[in-house]
Amino acid sequence: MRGECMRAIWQISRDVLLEARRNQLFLLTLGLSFTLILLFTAVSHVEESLKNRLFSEISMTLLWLMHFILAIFFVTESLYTDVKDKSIYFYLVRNVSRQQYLVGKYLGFLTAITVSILVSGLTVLLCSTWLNSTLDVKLVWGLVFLIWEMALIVSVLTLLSFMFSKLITVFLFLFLFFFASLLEYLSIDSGMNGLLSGLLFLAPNFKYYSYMEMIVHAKAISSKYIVFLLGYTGCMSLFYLIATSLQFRSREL
Amino acid sequence: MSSEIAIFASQVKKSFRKNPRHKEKFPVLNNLSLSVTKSQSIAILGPNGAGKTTFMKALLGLVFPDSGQIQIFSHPAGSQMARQRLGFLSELPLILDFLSRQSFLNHFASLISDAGHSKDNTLDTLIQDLIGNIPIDLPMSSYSKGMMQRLNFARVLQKDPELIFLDEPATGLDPIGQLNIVRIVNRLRELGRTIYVNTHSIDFALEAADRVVVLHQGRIVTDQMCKDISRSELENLFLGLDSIRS
Repeated sequence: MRGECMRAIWQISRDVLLEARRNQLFLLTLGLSFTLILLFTAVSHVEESLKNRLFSEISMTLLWLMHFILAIFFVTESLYTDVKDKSIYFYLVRNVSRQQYLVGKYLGFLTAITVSILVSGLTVLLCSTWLNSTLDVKLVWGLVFLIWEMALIVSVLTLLSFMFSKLITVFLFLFLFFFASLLEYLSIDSGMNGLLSGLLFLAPNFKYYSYMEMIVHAKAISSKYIVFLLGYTGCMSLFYLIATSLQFRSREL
Repeated sequence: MSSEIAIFASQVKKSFRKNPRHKEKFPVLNNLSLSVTKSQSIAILGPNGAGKTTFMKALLGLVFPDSGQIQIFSHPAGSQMARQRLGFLSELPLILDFLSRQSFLNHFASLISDAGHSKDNTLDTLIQDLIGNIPIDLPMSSYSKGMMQRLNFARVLQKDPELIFLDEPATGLDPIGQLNIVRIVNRLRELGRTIYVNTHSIDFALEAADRVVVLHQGRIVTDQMCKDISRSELENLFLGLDSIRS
């Protein structure tokens, strides 16, 4: 029984990966990432002052931005199309439960985006190592956080996609993201009162940018902070996934 | 004929909001009750907006009634036990255009649990008949609509569903395609499968079903065995419904 449950989840995830392989947005993301990273590498090689800090900052921000946009369009489009062309019926009518469908889709999205991050992230690491003659471990952690943050981004997008139309989902997600980022910035910059702290705790708080800021400003990063980032983002992703599951259970199709 | 109840619906009510901004709801299903015995073939006829699709979705567990009870082989609609025993063919064929015939079938067969299915698949011959002249290696994107519908029918029949739901299965097909669908449904009837079909076509209903139910405004207007009602009687009934609507 458990094996069958896992098989259904795997099959749905595999569908998402097949869909991603054929989706031109992935090819475009990878193509643009490669081109821009190689361009930054070439410029950094010529301009000494860019080598360390700026190369890391620009490349990692680029990876984040490309995959942020990719996640928004890929997740909303895939979920919206499943409902629009009624292919969701073919899964749910017979032996796949709503929970299996949801988990399968989520893992599929995350795996597809992770593969794309790893491929372009490896290029950043190779270029960085070539430029600086040493492997920057902070960048490796940066990639781990980026993937981890995608888990949160995908879970929030999935929840919104099951509740709203495609366009509203995109706008609402962007609003949430910028609002949470503003709160995060305020909390780092000047401290906050109780209400804002509460909002910051409840909002899907994206921490990758904070991590990048620390890299850029060459701050020491403790293992305690790494554990906090991983734990916080993991808990938030799980929270939004459970909320999606509850919402999807009662959703009429 | 077995007297086991395949579909049992009692006093089912469902209403929808006209607009998300309005509180006012309009009823789609009005205390609808229906019972279908195992191995029976039932056709649901009705004009657009009669509630056919909503009722089928409620039976499939995709829509939740406001009140009333729905059971599939004595299990609640949408439950795993109910889902294991049914198949569903939609009006729009599912197209995974990059897959070939066999990959498409294998893909969906792997999603269906083996639990509750007999090992000797009595529908294998019928599946072979359905997909026989569909090219093996070409992707679905190169298939005609008739081929896609037959391939989807074959997908539905995998692992022997006992109860098969068909939503407008002949819509958009040429006359030969429509005749093929009638022929397949009749083969399934001979093999003792329970068939529930939504259709606009009186001819299709009379040729492919034992029993015909006409829905109008979420209520059953008539429920008769096909042998007891003629084509002209059904036509007159429809014309009467149309005049009520206009």
